Amino acid sequence: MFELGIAFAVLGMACASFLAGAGSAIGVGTAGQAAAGVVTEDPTKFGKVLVLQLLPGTQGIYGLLIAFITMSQIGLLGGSPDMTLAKGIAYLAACLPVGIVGLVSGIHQGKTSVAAINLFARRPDQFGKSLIFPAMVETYAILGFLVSLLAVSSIPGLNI
Amino acid sequence: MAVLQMERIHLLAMKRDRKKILELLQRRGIVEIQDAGGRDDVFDKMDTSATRTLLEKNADTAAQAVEIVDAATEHKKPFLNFLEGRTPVAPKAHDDFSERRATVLRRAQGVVQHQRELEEAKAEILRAEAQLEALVPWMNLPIPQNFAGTRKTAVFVGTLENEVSRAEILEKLAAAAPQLDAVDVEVVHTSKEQTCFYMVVLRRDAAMAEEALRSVGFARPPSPSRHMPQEQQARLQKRIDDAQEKIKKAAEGIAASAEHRADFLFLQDHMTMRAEKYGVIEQLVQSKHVFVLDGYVPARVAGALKEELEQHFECAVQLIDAPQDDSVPVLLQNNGFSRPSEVIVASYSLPGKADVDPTTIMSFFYYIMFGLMFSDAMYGLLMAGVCGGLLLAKKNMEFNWQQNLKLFFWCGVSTLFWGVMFGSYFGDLLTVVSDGFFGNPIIIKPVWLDPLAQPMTLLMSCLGIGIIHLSVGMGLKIATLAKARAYADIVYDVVFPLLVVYPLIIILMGSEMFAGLAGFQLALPAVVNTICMVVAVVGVLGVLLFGGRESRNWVKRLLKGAYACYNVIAGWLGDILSYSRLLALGLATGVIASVVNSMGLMVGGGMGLLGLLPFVLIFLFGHALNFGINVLGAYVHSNRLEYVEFFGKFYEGGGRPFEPFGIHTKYYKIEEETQNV
Repeated sequence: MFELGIAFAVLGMACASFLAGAGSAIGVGTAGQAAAGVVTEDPTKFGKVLVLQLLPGTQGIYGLLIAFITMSQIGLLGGSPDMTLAKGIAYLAACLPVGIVGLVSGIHQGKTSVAAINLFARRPDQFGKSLIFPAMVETYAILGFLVSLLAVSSIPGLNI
Repeated sequence: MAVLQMERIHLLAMKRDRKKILELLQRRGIVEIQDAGGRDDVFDKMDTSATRTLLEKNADTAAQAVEIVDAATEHKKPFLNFLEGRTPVAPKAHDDFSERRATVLRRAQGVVQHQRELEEAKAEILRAEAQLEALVPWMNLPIPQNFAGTRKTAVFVGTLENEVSRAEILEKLAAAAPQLDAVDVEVVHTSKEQTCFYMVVLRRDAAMAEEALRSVGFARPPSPSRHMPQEQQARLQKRIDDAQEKIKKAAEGIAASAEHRADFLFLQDHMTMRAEKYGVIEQLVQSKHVFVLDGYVPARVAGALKEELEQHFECAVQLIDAPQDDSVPVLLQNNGFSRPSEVIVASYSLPGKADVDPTTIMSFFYYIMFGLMFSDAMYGLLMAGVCGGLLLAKKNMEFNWQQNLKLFFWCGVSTLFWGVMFGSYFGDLLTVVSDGFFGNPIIIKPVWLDPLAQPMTLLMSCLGIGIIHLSVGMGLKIATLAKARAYADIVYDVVFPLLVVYPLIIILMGSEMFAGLAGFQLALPAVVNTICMVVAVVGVLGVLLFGGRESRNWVKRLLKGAYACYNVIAGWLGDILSYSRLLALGLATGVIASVVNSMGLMVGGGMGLLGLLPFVLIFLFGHALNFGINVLGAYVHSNRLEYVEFFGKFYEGGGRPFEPFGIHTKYYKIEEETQNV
């Protein structure tokens, strides 16, 4: 049964990085198409639309962070990867918030970024405000990340 | 610190001084010109749009001339060019230039003309070369391509598709027109794609022959020449030579003008300035001999300007305190520490008539929160160092760039501070290197705490910062309401909600749940709890009764009050939790930095000191990436916390920026202009 524990933990780690990463990939990809369109019209806007394009990229990073912390805690990066089944499942559960919220919020933040890029293309003086709309979506990714982080970092202390 | 007091300026002066007065105002750059009102029997307005269009066109010509000259001489823009700022010139130099501007403009137009000729000649060469190529198969043709025949004969010159022999052509023709006898065909050139030939028939058979040719797919050359092919070839060659000569001449002309590049730049600025001046003239009302100018000027400099104008010109200047409404433009004034963050306020919205200037207070929190989220001592040092260095090295930098760099300088300093607090120097670089390569781990202890080891403590501290930030926002709300003398609203909109929120926070901090989260128990005496409960109930009642006070109907009012209660509690809960992003982004910087360091060690770790090489490569790439991502994150989320959480508590915005009539040039600035407001 001990082997299954680590398998679940690795599954959790993988979920954190691939779900959140996929969300970011979709988001950054969608925003990138709009950004490229703006740059064809006005190449001087490159720097700022790039910033707007990158906004949905953070979910992937949060996912990576959780994955990395999980990896180092379960001993995949050196150490003894032994754990109970319950702990393994706990890791999987702890990784889910950042993964799933990352996926969904990444996609939607990408769409909001597209809208923000359009806003900026038409009203270049409103760059400050255009940054805020995608950042609103990110709040929930941050909350998911926090929950995952606090959960993952408190699992080793659990007596299960 | 404050929104500058504006005064309305009315100026009545002689028309003959108009040019001088406007130039003075333009150089001072402290007056925003307003439309001076309608026309009547005496006063009228001037339509200057034609002049402005011409001036803008001239500015464009100058810009084109610079572009052309730069392309020809391969002029490269120096690195960090944008930080150099505009070249200062004395007012005299500008006046002198006015005398030369016609010459310079002609020269610029010459450059543009040369460029046009050059492009035309290049196109001409391409055309001639294409024709030459098309002529090659016809070189053996003994007659001109468009030769139609003699009195008795008709001649057809043209091509058939594919490779066909003379016999095959004759066969095809015989099949198509059996009555056609006396036909002679001569093939001049064959290739896989086409066969070039000419055919001679009797003139009376011409129509029949043409019909027959068409049916077998005959095509005439695309642009038949009336010259013999050899001659045509020579003519085309000459056209190419001529065009090349033209290109040479045009290029020489352009190169000769390269030394006037600076003049062209000046010309562009000069024309831009004049266009702006003519835009202002349109806003004046003028009679036969006098004109009236209307505008806003900051009160601080208004007196001096009035004095200067009255001293130099025959004019009447009237200054009136500007009314307190949204039509008055807004200019902020802050000290050197807070001024850079004016841009953050401006990109949300400048203070409206009811607002106080939030810049100073906002800037402190901005720097603190940015640092908390970026949170690496070395990143902060790097950022502050680069920005500070550039500020010292490039004194002539434009104002806006200066402010941007100052903003990031202070953010860098704060980042350095928090990095030291958290013990993060390029993440755990020193530990990784000393342990992995030298087998002797050195650990730099954080001055305050290690965020990864005690995330809960840090989370609580971040929320604490949030509570302080929001409370300061409520304080500014009091200031705003006090400014409007709405003292009752202070009690209803600030005091009651805070009476709900603060006791609840204290009760929460004393609870078991908080102790479990934070890892320590706040031993609050039971009496504190009771007092808090009572106060909170008072607050809730206050909000309930007065939250919907604009409704006359009591049922409606109580319902609105209940909704206001919900909003206070849910709103504050959401706002405070939102500050958890300080922890999340702060952790992100540190953890990614550690990931980069560990990856470097994984690759280079086993190779002894030689492993430092791949380690350094991974280090540079990884940390550059981490730096970029986290600067962006810290910037965006500092803005968000200020805009949404902080400004949401008190700020209305909607002010109109002060846009003075001035010198908005690209390359040169006139030195007097430096007395900026």
